[in-house]
Amino acid sequence: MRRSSVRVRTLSTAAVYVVLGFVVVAALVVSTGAGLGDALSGWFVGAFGNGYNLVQTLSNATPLALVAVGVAIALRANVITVGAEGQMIVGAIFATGVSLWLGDSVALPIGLLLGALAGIVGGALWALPAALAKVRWNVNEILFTLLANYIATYQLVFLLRTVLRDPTSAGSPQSAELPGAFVLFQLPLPGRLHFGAVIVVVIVAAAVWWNASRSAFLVDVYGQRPILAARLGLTPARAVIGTMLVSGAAAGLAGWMQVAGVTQRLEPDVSGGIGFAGLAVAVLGRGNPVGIVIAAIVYASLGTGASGVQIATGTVPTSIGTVSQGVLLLAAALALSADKLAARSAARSAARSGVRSGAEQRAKEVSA
Amino acid sequence: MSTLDFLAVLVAGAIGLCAPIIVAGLGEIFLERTGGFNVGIEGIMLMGAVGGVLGSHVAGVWFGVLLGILIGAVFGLLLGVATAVGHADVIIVGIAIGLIGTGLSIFLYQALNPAGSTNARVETQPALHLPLIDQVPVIGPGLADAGIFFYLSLALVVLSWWVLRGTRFGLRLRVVGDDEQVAMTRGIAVRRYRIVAAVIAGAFAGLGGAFVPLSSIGTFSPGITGGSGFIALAVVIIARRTPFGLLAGAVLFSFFNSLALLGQTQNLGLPVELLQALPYIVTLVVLCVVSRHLWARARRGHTHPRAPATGTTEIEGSL
Repeated sequence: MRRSSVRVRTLSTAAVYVVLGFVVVAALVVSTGAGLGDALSGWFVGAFGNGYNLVQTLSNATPLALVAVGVAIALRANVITVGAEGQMIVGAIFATGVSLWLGDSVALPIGLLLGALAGIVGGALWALPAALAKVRWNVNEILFTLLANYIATYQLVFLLRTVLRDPTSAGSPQSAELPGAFVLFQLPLPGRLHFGAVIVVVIVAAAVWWNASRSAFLVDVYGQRPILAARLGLTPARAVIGTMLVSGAAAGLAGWMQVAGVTQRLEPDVSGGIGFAGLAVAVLGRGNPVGIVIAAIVYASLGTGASGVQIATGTVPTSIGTVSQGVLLLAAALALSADKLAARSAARSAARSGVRSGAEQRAKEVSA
Repeated sequence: MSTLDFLAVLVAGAIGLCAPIIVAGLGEIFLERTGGFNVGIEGIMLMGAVGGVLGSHVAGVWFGVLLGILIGAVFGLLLGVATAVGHADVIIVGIAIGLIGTGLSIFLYQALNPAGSTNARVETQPALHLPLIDQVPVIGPGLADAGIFFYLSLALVVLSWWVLRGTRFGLRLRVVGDDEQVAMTRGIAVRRYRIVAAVIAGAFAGLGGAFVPLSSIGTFSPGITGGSGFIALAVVIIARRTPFGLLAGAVLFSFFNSLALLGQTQNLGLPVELLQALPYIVTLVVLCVVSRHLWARARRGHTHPRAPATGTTEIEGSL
């Protein structure tokens, strides 16, 4: 009973924070001279209003969800990676390189498999130095991955100017189009959503299954009590390197999907800002794969909806989308900590009145 | 161009580029000394940059600088209150503030500069030429024309060093970060110090951001700070949170950045992208070397070593 009242209270604090946040966003909208109603309906039309826009939102949510599932796994081990941007770029480079190199010599399913594999390898390889540096020398992984993102970006620009450059395109730097066997087919929907979305759904299902496994539990233990985890057979090196490789692989796979499914060629803006977005979505989804999918769609809808807001009002710039993403994340961070504090104080008062503490209760639920 | 001339140009470029990193890093030092961390630094710098251009447009360059500081302080207050009072996770709050700052800076820029209108140049820092010093080889010309912002940031380095080392405020700030329990038993208002440090960090980041457009460009463009905030974060760790170490690290980074800029106009025999990536590569390598050294010392030394990789040792104070 006590726990459920805590639940209700945290849900209402979360709601208060979200409402407060969107009052700020609304004030911004109104300050440009736009009507609030116009902006709201514009947002809805832009994000979900018709088949094409809905599919665009889902298409943007696809790489976000995939990256966030990987980031969430590292987060469980207390590893905070913002390297998805660079890992996605390197995954995309590897996938493009393999596709253009093999060309028309392979058939359809094999081409896709090889492309995906190359993406995974590229993403994981780009995550490896950060993981090793953390394990060996205790290098802050946030800073390492942030800096590595810049290095990956310049690497991409270099390759698109030289080896990977499409010789027939005179204008913007981009690679040649991928051969047919390496291109992900589109789902029969209005707008463009590639088959990768289905792959992401399968991966999310796999993540749900993995979450209940012993190794997931061990990673959780590592996140809380590293020494205990080592006694249970999970050493710090394996925990950090393993989780970072998985998150890198997920980001690399997302890089392959953007190339093989969305643009069909490698372009300089393959990863646009996904480093922080992936972490944000993982946090908003509270590390739960299904929650992450919902969070990814909401997060993506703020971006696609912003275009709708601009069209509907004419005065509100699309960057209102980024602002509302940040506001949402801030509200979530405050609500999360309110949740934790409430649970802790409930546990304390329960312990004081001689009832078994909520923490113990929770521990029991976990081990059951 | 002779080698000496070439070096002089490089050094002049480095001196011209380092002020924003130094200033933003100083704020970060105050914050990290209390156990905080500001991943949103880049977004706050962007807000400082847009505020600087707006303020300069309205009432001249110094008003722009002031506006940048004020906007940064507001964002710092948000960071401080959310983490110290709301007990929210510093990293998540930092990312949120980074997103808000980045988005809002573009929002303001686009709202005030509708597409198609020309991007008016605003007043930038007044010209400053120091006599005599330009006779010194290699570094002389750069120092003579370094500009007021560079000398202002040098003054702030000295000021910060003194505040942290020689004042009661600085001592208390450090106690809050080193041992919260001791701070509390000594009657230090821990929460208040954390908030004040966050406001200082925000104000400095805003000032650093305002320096970017106001030093010579005179206009804002989305993403104009180009990662200097993140570089400041790395340099602060490399410098072990000391103001003079920060100065050295910022100059080192800016030196390679200056090389990259030079490589865009002259053929230096290397791909331009490699030159552009070089500052980040150098920072990364130095970060690894310093972390390795600190880690080895922590394991040897008197401080109880923490298990590797539980969180981020450098910053875990308030995680």
